[in-house]
Amino acid sequence: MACQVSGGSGSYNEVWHFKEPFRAAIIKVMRLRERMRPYVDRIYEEASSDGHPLMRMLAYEFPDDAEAAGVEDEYCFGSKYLLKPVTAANASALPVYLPRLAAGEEWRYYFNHSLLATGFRGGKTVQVAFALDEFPLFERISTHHTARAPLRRLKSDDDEGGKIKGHAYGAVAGGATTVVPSLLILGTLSNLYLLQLSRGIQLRDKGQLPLWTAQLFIAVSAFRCAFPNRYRGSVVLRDSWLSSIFLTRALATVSEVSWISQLAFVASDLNSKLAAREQAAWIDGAAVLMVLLVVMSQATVWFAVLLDQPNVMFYEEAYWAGIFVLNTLANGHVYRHQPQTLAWISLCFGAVYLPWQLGLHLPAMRTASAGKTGILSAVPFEFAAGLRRALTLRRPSTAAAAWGGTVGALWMICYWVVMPFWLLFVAQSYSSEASSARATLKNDDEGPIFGTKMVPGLEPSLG
Amino acid sequence: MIRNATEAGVEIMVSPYFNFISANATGYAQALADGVLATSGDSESGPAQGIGQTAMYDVFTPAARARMMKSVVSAAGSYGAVGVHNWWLDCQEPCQSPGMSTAIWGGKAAMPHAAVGAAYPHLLAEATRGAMTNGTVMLGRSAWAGTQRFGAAVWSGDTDSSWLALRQQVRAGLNAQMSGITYWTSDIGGYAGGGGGPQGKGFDHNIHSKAFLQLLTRWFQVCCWLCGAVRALHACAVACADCSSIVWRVLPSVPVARPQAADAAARGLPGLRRFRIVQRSLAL
Repeated sequence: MACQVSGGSGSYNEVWHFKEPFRAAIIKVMRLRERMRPYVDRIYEEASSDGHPLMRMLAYEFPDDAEAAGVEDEYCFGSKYLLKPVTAANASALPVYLPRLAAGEEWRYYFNHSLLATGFRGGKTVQVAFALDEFPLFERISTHHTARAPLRRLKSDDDEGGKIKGHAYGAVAGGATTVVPSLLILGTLSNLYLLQLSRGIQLRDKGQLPLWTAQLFIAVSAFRCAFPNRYRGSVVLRDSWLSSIFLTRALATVSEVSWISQLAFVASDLNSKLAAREQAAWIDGAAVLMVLLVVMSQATVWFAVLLDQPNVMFYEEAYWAGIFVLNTLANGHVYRHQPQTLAWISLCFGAVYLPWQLGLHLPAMRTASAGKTGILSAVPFEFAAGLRRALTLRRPSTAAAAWGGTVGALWMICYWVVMPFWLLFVAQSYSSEASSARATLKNDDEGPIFGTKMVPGLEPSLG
Repeated sequence: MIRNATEAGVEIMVSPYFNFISANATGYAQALADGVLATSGDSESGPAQGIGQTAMYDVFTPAARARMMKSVVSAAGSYGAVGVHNWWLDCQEPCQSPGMSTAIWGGKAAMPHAAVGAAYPHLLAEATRGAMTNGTVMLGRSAWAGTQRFGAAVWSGDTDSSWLALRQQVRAGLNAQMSGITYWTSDIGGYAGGGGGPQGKGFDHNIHSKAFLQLLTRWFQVCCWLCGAVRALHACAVACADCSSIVWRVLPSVPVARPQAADAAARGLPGLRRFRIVQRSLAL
């Protein structure tokens, strides 16, 4: 259906006549429009039945927002989308004022969901950078009704039957559902069992720290298995205040500091039990540094959660990598001079964790967070709002994607179900029972029961 | 062809000129004698000139309305019979040239002549009420508050291909929509090329020019979120000497809420809404 103009010269108006990258950008927006058909239908009905215009100045949608009243170069298309048209050549960034939303709603940048942090309610001007095939387009998303409605595809505009306002849009792409978060309740049971076991451990002089840290970690793991959540997207399994990000994070801070304290203690202790000439002074320093790093990681994750800066989690993960580099080096030193189970477990953990963390996880986070606006989201720091969100925002979901897919499932199972066994094992190694077992071992030259696995010949070096 | 298009989800729109009568038409002399043709405001000597050798009906004159109605009903019947229900009302604006106003029934009418943009779609809606059960989509170049109830959309006419014109589209569209004219649209990429029209420097519709393609891309992006009713790519390429044809209509079956449009104005008075907002804005 090309244009046939009189004279036969022809006219090139079809989209395939345009060269790249313009053609792709135009096709992209045409597809966008196609997907919006049901939405456009609905706002037509609104126009017909209630007289609402399709294009609305901001003051129409946000009559109580004083700043919105003065905005002339943005508008809403229906109530769900806010657009700032790009009307200048070679524009690549624009400031966009996003009016203040009511509680239970949030803004989302259509083309890059990580630009705005979860729960961002506007009332601020944000800077938006865009390529040719993007433009400042924001979705107004309701978080109110997600407790009852399953998460839907974020970009789906075809939630037919839904109302324009108060529609339910989830945070994370849906698709397959997962039973893993529900099955984690078994982890609660196993952790409670471990907690019960830990009560039977008889302390000896230095065993208090390993035991208490293990018990804290196990108790928190039991809780997290019962009320699992994910910070990014505020995804929860159970819609209860016990699932709140704030509570989980507070408990996790305790358990993570506990865990690393235990590891640091073990590394330092094992080193001290080496023969004097084999002891490495740096291991004590590394142990202190490990605790310091875990404290820094907690500060970082609280910063990310409360100030709406999910991309900063990268640093938290980097600190964790640092912790386990140190732990692996320290235990490597110990194991080299005196092979034993505790050091061996730490080495195994490092062998699995470090390649993944350093080779895959951190680079992937770097890529994901290194948006055009840098690692900090284009959101002003709002502590009170962040606190409120951490306390109250919950998006119940059983969507696999919302829970991080296979990797997320493995992470939850390993961290909350398997890891507690390790901590309890460490605690038991420092129990008087293990101590007496070691004493027995010394006398009878039998194999190890708990803790230190001794190789004949090295035994005398034990302190 | 119409059937193929319908099956593909595309509706055909025809562009009748019911508001004109050719000087060569058999009824022209009678129309002239009956005084149903609009005259130019500054001359009593002859009818206002339309396109080519045509005169323009005075849409406010009952006799003219009756004649137009007759041809509309006839056309609606024959077009409707083959499945075409939509009118593209080009050149329905009352002024045919700058400085010329149309004298209408009852005398010179500088004031109400803008109402031609409402009266003409109204006439078509009345005429086609019976003939077109699906209702009618009308795309015109002028509109007035209330024309949305006839399913009449308006587009901003032959704009420049320029960034300034694109900026103007946003403001014009917003003003039209906030005034209750719901169905508003714009030629994507602009219409008139020109090296430097009154609205700013244009790009000549040179599809090999990256500057023009960038403008076109941004215009597409704006129109995706701006033009509710109809969106047209009305631009012609550089080789096109007379940019006179809509060549391709983007997503032509975009829902125009035809059944709803019919009762829109019966229930809604969007203007009232506007006043509330103005009050609020002033209070701020």
